[in-house]
Amino acid sequence: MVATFSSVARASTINISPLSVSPMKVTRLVGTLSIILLLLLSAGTPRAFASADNTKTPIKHLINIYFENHTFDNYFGTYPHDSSSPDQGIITSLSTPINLLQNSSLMAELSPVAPGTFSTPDPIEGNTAYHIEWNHGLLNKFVEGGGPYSMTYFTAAQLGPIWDLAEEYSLADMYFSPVLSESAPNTMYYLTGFTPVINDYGPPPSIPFSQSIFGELESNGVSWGLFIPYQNESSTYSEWSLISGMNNYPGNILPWSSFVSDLNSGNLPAVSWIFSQDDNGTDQGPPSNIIPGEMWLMYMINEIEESPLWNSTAVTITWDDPGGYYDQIAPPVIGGVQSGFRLPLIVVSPYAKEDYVSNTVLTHSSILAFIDYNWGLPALNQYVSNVNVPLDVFDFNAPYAGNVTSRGSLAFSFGANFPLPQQPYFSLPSNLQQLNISTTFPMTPQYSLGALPYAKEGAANFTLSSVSPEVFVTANTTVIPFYASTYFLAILVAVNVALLYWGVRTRKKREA
Amino acid sequence: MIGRRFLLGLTSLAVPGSFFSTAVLFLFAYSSQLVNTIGDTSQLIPLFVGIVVGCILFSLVGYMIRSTWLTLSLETLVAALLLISSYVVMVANSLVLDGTLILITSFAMTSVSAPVATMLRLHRQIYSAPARATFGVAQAALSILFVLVFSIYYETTGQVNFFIGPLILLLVSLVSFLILLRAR
Repeated sequence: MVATFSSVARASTINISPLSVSPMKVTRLVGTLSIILLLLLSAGTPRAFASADNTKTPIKHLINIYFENHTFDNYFGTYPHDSSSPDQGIITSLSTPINLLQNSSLMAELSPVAPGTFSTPDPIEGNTAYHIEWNHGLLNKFVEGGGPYSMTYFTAAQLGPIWDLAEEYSLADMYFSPVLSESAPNTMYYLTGFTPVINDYGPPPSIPFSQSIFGELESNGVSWGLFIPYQNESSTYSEWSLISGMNNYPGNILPWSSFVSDLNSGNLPAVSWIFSQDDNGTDQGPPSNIIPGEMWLMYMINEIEESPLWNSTAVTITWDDPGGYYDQIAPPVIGGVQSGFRLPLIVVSPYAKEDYVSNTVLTHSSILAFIDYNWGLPALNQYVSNVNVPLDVFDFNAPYAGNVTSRGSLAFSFGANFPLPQQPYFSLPSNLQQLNISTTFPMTPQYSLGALPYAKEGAANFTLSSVSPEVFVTANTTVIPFYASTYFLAILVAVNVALLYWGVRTRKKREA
Repeated sequence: MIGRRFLLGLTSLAVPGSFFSTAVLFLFAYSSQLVNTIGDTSQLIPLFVGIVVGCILFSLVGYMIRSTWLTLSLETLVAALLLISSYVVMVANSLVLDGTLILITSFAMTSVSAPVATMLRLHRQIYSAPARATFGVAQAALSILFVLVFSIYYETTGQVNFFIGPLILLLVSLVSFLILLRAR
């Protein structure tokens, strides 16, 4: 671009003789050159800077952390949030879930995971199992669909630190998995607002990179990054294998260690996804021990809070699919799609409301809607356009002590009750069974709850379609190579049959 | 001692028959999305019971009944009806199949084994009943083996590229048919 501009300027200079050109012409020429200069400069400037910084909220960095296979009630069924009392943090008497539509027979099947135990056997997973559990919204066949372990729930004895995050920041209790199925289709809605598959399989089919949130961010110059345990896993990592063309962006797929260094150097992409899935059970998916994931999460949150980017950051923490566990709320139809069971969503940010529970109906694609909203982009597609944007979890104007509108960082530290790792790759403490994790919850609120300028519970229905009909992808397409299509295989069947038929006819004629 | 003619029958009937019937079975599972509804190991038992019983039964039917154009037409009609019925049941249940429905569907999709066997016999039909029964069992055994091999491959490769199974079988089947037709 610079070379082009220089050559234009040079050519113009050579042809201009001050003695032979009128002042009017000079003025016109200077004006024209100025416009050309401006155009060239604007074209030559990376759009990332303009677009990435131009956000509708003070949030310049969004970090999305993704775990596996737990429902809201499996993790927060006994979370003792007290929404009725303005200055009381938790209900101290709640010890069993208040739920399951007063279904006494199912209530009898419920059991807490015993203190000192940090996992359950894997409930039955899959499109079929979840549909059986759902039973057209009656929610009365969890045992038949998911097996007996579907009726278990964790408590503060395992989840104290994660409950602390919910207490100190915001928790969404109407956040639904996009579809009644397992990881792949739900993850596709998390990354593309669409799914080409109904269960865990494929590719094929796949979805083009240009129709994913990465494609939208890339084409609008907003920086993005995916962070996975180790660099060399990027080629085989399955979470986004259904997005064709991801391998063309190896520079955007980086290890956890890069996330930490980028964070501390202030060079984190505008939007980051951290996938917890590794071989050590960090993803918390049953039958894995959930403690490695919890320790890893608290390490990551502490790193984010202590980083120079804290004041411009929001973190979403969610789980990919229900994992076969029970939940008490019949999932609604969202954007024309039957959603699946609720998942936890925790939002950590200096702008997240303290001790807040959002009742807004949300789903994985609501995070995409927030990205589009925040960076002023069109909704990724019609589905994203129609889901609620999680805005009520934030208060960007709350007057906190010291006349500031953002919250200072918290340092999560639980001493010997829950020793935190010093790096993203670590070994579990040997005395895990002796940890007194339940004592880690509750924490002292950062700000006095009675003085908070917002309610402790609420909802706000706001969709991108309510402000603009514009969408980035007008029609999602599913990619299946012709050689892998049923059409091609059917043609081969027809050729086989025709060949055999011709052979039989020829032989019969010969015999006759 | 196994005669040369018997071995020729085995390789020219049961082997290509198993290639082609397994390919069609896979194609139905692929195009109807049956394979995509399999999400946990408890579904595998009814799936494989249906396939094993169906393969044996329909292969034997194809080899034991009189091979004429009429029986071939009837077998084809029955297989088509079973496949269409299975598909309708799957759609009617929004692709949510319990163990019984999986068993019935997997049994039904093996029904193509019968017309395939009969069609091959129309090409090379003069064999004794015990020999034909052996061909039927052999075709069924090979089909079950191919299903197992590709299922394990599909599972161990992360449930990707299911089309490879039917594609390879159809191409191999095509080659085997060409060899069969050239043989005198």
